[in-house]
Amino acid sequence: MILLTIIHLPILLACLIPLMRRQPVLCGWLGALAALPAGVLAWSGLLWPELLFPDLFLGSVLVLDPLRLVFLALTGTLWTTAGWYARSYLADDTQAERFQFFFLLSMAGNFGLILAADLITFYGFFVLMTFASYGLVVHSGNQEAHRAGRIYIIMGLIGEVLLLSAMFLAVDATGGELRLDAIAPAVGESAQRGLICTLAFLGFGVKAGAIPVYFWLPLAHPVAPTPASAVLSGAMIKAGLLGWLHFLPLGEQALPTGSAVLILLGFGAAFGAVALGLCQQNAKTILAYSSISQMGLMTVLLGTSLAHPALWPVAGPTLALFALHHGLAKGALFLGTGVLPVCPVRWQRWFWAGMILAALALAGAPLTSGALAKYGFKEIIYQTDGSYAGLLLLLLSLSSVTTTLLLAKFLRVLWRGKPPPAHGSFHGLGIPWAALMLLVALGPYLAVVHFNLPLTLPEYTPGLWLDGLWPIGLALLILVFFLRFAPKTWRTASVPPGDGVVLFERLITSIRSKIPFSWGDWWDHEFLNFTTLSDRIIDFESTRSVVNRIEPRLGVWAVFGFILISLILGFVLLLL
Amino acid sequence: MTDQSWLLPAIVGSSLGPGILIFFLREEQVAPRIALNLFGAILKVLLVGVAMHGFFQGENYEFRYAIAVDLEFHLRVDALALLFSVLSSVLWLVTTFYAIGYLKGSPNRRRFFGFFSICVTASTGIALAGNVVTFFIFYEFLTLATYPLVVHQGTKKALEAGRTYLFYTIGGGTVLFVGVVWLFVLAGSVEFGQTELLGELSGEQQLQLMLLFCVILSGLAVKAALVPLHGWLPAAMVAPAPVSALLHAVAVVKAGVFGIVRIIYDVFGIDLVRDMGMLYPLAGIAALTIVFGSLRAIAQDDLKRRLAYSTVSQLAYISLGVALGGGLATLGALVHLVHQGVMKITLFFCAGIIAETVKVHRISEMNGIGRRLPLTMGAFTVGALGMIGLPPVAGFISKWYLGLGGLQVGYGWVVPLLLLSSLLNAIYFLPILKRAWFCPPDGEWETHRSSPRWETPGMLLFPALITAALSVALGLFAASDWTVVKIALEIVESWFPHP
Repeated sequence: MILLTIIHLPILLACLIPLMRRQPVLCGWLGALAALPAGVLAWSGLLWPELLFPDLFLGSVLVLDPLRLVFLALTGTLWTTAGWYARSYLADDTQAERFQFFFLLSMAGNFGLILAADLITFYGFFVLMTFASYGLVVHSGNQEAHRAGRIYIIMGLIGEVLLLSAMFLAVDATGGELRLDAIAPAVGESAQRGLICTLAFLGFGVKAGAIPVYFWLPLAHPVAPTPASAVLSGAMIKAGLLGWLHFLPLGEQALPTGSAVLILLGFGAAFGAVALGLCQQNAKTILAYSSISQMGLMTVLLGTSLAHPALWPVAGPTLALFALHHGLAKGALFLGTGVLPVCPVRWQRWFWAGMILAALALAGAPLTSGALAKYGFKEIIYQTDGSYAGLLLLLLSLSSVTTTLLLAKFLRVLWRGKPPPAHGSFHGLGIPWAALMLLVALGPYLAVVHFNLPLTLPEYTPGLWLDGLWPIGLALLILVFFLRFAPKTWRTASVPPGDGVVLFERLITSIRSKIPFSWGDWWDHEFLNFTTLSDRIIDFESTRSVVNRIEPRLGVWAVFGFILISLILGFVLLLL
Repeated sequence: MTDQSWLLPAIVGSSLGPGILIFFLREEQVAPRIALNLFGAILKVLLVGVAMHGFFQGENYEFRYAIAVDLEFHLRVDALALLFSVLSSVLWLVTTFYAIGYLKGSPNRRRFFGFFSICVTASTGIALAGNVVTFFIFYEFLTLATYPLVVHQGTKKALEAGRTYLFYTIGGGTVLFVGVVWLFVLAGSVEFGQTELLGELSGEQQLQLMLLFCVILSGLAVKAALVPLHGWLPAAMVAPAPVSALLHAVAVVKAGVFGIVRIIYDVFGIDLVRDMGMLYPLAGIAALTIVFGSLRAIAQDDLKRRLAYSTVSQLAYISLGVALGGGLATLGALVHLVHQGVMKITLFFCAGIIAETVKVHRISEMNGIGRRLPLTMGAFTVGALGMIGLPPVAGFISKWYLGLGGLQVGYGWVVPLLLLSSLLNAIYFLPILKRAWFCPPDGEWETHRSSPRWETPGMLLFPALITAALSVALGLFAASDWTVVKIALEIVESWFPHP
C-alpha cells in the first residue's frame, strides 16, 4: 500500500489546495511534505514486490525493483528539496497556490510513472506529468513564459502522439499483454521493430531532450520558477530515459543499426548542446543545454548496450546511476542560481564551493559522483571489445572537456552576469540547497553500496586520477587561452535559446506574412461549409419554387397520362 | 421464471407517464411538476437497475404486443439494450436536475418538461426495441419530441434551427422508412439478432441487399451526424443547454449510432456486411467525419458551436469502430458510445453554466474565467482532456480499444487517424483551457452571485461535477466489474465468439 500512498499523497494534497486559501504557510509546506515519503522510502533501500490493482485502469501493477529504486531515490530527493525550496521562493507570489497545485500533480505523475509496472498506468502518469508541468512552465505569466509554454505543449503533444502509436504497435506485438516487462521482448521479436523503436525513441526523446526534438527544453526549463526548473531538468527529464528502458529491446536483441544511430545522436547532443550552450548569456539556459548534453551521454550508453545485450545487467544499473548523479548535480546547480541573489557575503565562499563541487561532479572529476558514473560507463565500453571502443573512450573524455567548458561558462555568467531577481530568504533557499548538495556528494556512493547495485567502486590508482583530471585541466587551459586571446566577437557570439525552433518560428512568420491564410477563414469557406450548402438546398423558398414550377406542368394531360401509364405498366411488370 | 413482462413497458412508461401528466398541470404549478419529473427519472433509473440485475442473473425480459398481422411491438433486454438504457436513464436523471436549475423562472416550462420526458421515453424505447419496426417507431417519435425542445426559446434563430433540424431528421426518417418497409417486404418482421434471415437471402439478392443497406444506413446517418449529413447538429446548438446536452450526449445522436450498431450486427450480421464490402466505405466516411468535424471545430469561436462540431467528430469514432468489424474495435465503439456521452454532457453543462452565470458565449471572451468559475472550469477541463483522449479520463479507454482494434483487423491507418484526431482535439480544446486558467481576465467578472455558497446555483454546478467525476471514474476504474467495458465485452463476445 505504501507505493500507492506515495503516488496518492501529492494528488490528495493537490486536491486540498483550494481549501487552503487562507493558510499560505501550510500550503507552502505541501510540496516538501508530499515528496518526503518517496525520498525516505527510496533511500531506505527497501524493495517491494508487485502490487496488483485489478480495478484500476486496465489492471494496474506497481512495483519497486532495484532499477526503479534508483530513479525513485533521485526524484524523491529532488522533489523534496525543490518543494522545500519553493516554500520560500514563492512566499511572496500571488499565484503560489496555483504553482503548488501543478507542482504536486507533476510530482505525482513523476513518482507514478517510475513505480508503474504496466503500460497504461505508466502512460497515465506520464501524461499527468507532461500536462501538469505546463502549469509550471507558464507560471510567471509573461510573454516569454507563454511562448515557452506553447512550444512545450506542442512538443509534448507530438511526443504523446508518437508514444501512443509506439504503444499501440507494441501491445499489438505482445498480443494484448500490458505489462511493461513484456514490452521489450515483444518489441524485439516484432516485425515492426524498427518502427516501434523509432517512435518510442522520438516520443520519449521529447521529454529526454534528444536530437531532433530537444529544442523546447532550453526555452521551457529556464523560464519556469527555479524550483520547477530543478525538477524539470533533474527529475522529469529522466522520465524519457526510463521510457526508453521500458520500450527498447535492451538485453534482448542486438540491434547494431539502432545502436549506431543512438550513439551518433547521443554524441551529437553531447557536443552540439555544449556548442550552443556556450553561445548563451543566461545561466539557467546554459544549464538546460548542459542537460541536453548529459542526456546525450546517457543516449550513448543506451546505444552501446543496445548492440550488446549481454552487458545489459550491468549497463542498466550504470545508466540509472548516471541518471541519479546527473539529476542531483543538475538540481543543485539550478537551485543554486536562486540562492546567489539572497546569499550574504560571508556565506558566499561556501556557496561557490558548493557550486564548483556540483560542476566538477558533472565534469567527472575524481572522487565525485561523476567519476563514479563515468568509471562505470568506461567499464562497459571496455567490455564491448568492439573496434570502436577506443574511439568511444576518447569521445567520452572529450565530453568531459566540453562539459567543463560549459559549466565554467555557467559559473562565469552567474558570477559576472546580471543577478536574477531575488526571491525568498537565504535560510529558506540555502538550507534545502545545502541538503541537496550533501546528497550530490554522497548519494551515488550510497546508492551503489546500499542498493546492492551490481557495480564496482573505482579504486583510485594514479592512472585513474590522471584520467579524471586531464580533461578538466585541458578545459581550463582552453578557457584561459580563450579569454586572453580570442577576438571579442567570439566571446559575445550568441544563439537565441531554443536555436532550431527560432528559425522555424521565423519561417512560419514569414510564410504567414506573405500568404494571407487563416485556418478559420479557410474552414468557414462556403464551399466546405456543408451546413450553408445544405441550407441552401433545403431552403424553403427555393424548394417551394421548384414544387410550384412543377405543379402546373403536372396538370397538363399529356404529362399526367404518361406518368399514369408508366406507373400502370410498372406495376404490371412487377406482378409478372 | 416469474412473469416480469411488465418491467419493460414500465421502463418506457416511467417517463411517458410523467411527461403526459405534466401537460395537464398549469404553468405555475412548479412543485408538482418538479416532483413528477424527478419521480419519473429516479423510477426509471431504479427500474433499469432492476432489469440489469435480473439480466445478469440470467433472467430474460421480453414484451410483445401484436399491432397488426405480422407486425409486433416488441421490447426486450439484451446487453446492448442495457448499455444504452443505462446511459440514457442515468444521464437523463442528471440532466433533469440541471434543466430544473437552468430554466428556473423562464416561461413555457410546462411544454419544455413535457417534451423533455417524452424525448427520453423515445430514447429508452429505441434502446429496448426488439425488432426493426419498434425501433423505427421510437426513432421517429424521438424526432418529433425533440423539435419543440430545439425551438424552445422561440427566437427567429431558434425557429430557423428547428426548421433545419426537421428537414434533416424528417428527410432521414423518410429514407429510413423506405428502408424499413423494403426490409419488411424482403424478410418480414426482422427481430434483432435474427441475422440468419438476411443471411439466407445473401446469395441471389446480393445487389438488393446492398442497396437496402445503403438506404437504411443513410437514413440513420443523419442522426449519427456523418458527413455530409451532419448540418443539423451545429445548427441545433441554439437550443437551451440541457437540450444540447441531451441531443449531443444521450438521445438523438446516440439513437443514430445505436441504430447503425443494431443494423450491422443484429439485422444484417457483420459477416454479411463484410461480404457485401460495405464496411470499408462506412469506415471511410467515419474517418472523413472525424477529421472534418475537428477541422471545423477549430474554426469556431462560439463555445457551443465548437462543442457541436466536436460531437460530429467524436461520434464518428463509434461508427468507425463498428465499421472496422473486429472485436476490439467494436468494443471501443460501444465503450465510446457511453464514454463520449458522459464527457460531452459535462462539457455542455459547463458551457450552459458559463453562458448563464457570466453571460459569456465566445471562447475569445473566456480569459481568466477559471478564477470566477473554478469548479465549473475544473469539470470542463476533465471533459476536454477526456475528449483529447488522455488518461485517466474515460476517453482514453475508448481510443485505446479503437486503436488496438484497428491493428487487430490489419488497418494500420486507424492509429495515425486517431492520433491526428487527438491532436486536432488538443488544438481546439487546449487553448480554451489555457485562456481559462492562465490568461488574466480582460475585465472584472460579474461578481453578482445567484447562489450564496457556490459559484453558480448548485442545481447547475453539481450535475456538471457529477458527470465530470463519472468521466474520470469510468476511465480510472475501467477494469472493474461494473463498468462499461465489462458490459461491452459481454456484447462483443456474443458477436465475436473469439475476440
